[in-house]
Amino acid sequence: MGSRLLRRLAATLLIAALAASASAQYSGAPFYTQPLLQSQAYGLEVALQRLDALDAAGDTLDDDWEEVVEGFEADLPRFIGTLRAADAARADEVEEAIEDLEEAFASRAGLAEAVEAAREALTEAYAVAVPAEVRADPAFVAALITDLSLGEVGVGEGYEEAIEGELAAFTLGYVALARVTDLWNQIADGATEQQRADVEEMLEFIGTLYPTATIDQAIVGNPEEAEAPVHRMIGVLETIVDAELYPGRDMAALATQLPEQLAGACEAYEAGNDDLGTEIAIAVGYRYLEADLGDFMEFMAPEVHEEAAELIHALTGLGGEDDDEGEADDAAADGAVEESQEPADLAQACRELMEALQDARGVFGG
Amino acid sequence: MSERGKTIRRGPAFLVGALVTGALTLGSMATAQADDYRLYVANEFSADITVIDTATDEVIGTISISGRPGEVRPRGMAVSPDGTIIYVSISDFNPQLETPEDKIIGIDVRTNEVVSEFRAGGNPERVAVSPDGAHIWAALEAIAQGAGYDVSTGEQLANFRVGVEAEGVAVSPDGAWVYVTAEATHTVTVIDAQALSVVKHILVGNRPRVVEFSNDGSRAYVTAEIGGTISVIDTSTHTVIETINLGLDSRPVEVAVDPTSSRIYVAGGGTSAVYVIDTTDNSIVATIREQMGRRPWGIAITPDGKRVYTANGLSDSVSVIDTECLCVIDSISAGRGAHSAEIGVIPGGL
Repeated sequence: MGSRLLRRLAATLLIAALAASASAQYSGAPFYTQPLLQSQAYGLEVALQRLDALDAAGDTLDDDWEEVVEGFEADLPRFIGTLRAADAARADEVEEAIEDLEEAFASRAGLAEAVEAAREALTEAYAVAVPAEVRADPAFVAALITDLSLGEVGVGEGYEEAIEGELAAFTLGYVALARVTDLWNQIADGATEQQRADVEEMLEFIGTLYPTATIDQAIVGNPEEAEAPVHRMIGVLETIVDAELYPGRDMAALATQLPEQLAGACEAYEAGNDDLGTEIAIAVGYRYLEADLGDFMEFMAPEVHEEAAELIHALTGLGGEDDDEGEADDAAADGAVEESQEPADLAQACRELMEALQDARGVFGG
Repeated sequence: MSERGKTIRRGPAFLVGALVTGALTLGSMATAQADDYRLYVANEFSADITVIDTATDEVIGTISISGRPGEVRPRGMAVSPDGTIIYVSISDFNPQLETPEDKIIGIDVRTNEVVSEFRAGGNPERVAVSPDGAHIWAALEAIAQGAGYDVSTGEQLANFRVGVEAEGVAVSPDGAWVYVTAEATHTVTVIDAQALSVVKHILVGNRPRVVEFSNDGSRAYVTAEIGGTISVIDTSTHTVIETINLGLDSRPVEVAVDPTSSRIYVAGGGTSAVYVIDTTDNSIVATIREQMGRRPWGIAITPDGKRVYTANGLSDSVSVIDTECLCVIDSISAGRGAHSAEIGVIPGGL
């Protein structure tokens, strides 16, 4: 790929101009300054969210929940390498607890106890993987709220999938909203009276969409009904915590950041630290797919996107499933890792992904 | 949204009609009546259209769009070049559902009756009318297409792949270009309306919503909701030549181009404000906040340029702005989820 493709792109792509990014209105940018920490924390949060959902579902658990349980396979690689480096025993405990939970779910025996044990292990892991001072940072908390609200196992997506008949997704959205509310309460003191009223109005409205933890049939209505107030809430949060919370707001900047971040993954793979390499690759791949960069590249430079998406899928399991409308790789969506053929040489695959992401950056003229 | 119709630019077809009408009524010109204006507000959640007489700023009617509010919604509107027909895009709330409700209807401004209707499958979000009134263009959100339709037959002329989650659409005043925005890819697709071909895709600000052409067609203005910007496009080269920063919390959506001046008015949903921009230097000359309704999303300006109306989605209301004082002078109740606003004209009044 590389320069030949870029020349072809230059000849065929009709990008008229770059959008000048809005001036740096906020002083913080957690998705740029600590992308790996945000990704690790998101993985821990979603894993805990799955446990809360299993609890909330109670007697309604059926085989449809298998996908929710399988999702742990996507959550753990986001943080397990760092956790293992810091506390190998703790990492083993987490993995064992999740294995026990999967077995309990399969046999429907001792599930409540397994959920509780996994929660304890994950909570302790959280404290190890994410430093206390980071967890106390309002910008970090607001970024987590953003991911839990707009992410693919989040508040907005849960409601949308419930309309499509994914009943377990509704419960995931329900517990995500509870967690978002909890996180909001941690930073609400920094808000003005009006800001607080605005955020709480949005939370209250979203709460009306999630009146119960479970549903027994698909919802009829607007799939974006939860997402719209979420966006409004995040807009207010940005002003409260003085931080940029949309990593894809300036796509050229994101396209610049991702290969820089991926360099750490390639170094880790070269050094034989595959877990850390994959952690970073997931953080990079998720942002590529979720912050609209993937959609943009698929539309404007499909060859570049195809290369990037295939390599992200190979390294992380994310993506790999285009829908009929050309939207990029919604499989990040379910938080589920699809079966993918792991490359024989992870370092080489990482280098190839690096080249693809650099090509993507080149589409923006840089 | 309003696209070029918002400013009631009257094209050749109108002029011919006007000349004929003028000849017939020449003797009574001295006593000719002024045009009446009607404001139409599409209410997303109550599935109806509020009709307001701008002379009194009173609601004079409500047009039901569907018996299934909450499932079917009216969104973007456009007006015919002579101002007498309001076109409304209607779709199911669930973009994945391909229902008969996906259509565009035409409402006669004089009678407020639906006088035309044609299918526009793929979840039409916003519509625009060509300057001769013969064609309608729609942004089909669910299938990422921009599509043109023949108004007289309802037949689809052509459709083009545009970016993901197509949203806004506008036709240039000379009828040469159709611009279609796409939320998820942050692009504007330029369609040659005569050759019926895609010319290029333009990267604009994050989550572009609405596009409007300037009165002379030399510029197009594209709001970016998450970007908090307006991309200014030179339509001779189809390139972004400037980006107006309204602030990241502004959440701009619809734009009203003043037909009588160089101003544009931008609805800022995030800040519950209207931004007034002088397009001679693209500076923000005023930000109207006081007494504004909550989350202004739609915006329209009367053809005489004296009043601006905003459709306020969170307060289910319309704010009335006097363009002299640049202040809110009234508030009018609308339906639930006021989304878009458009001005229709009754030539010579009722």
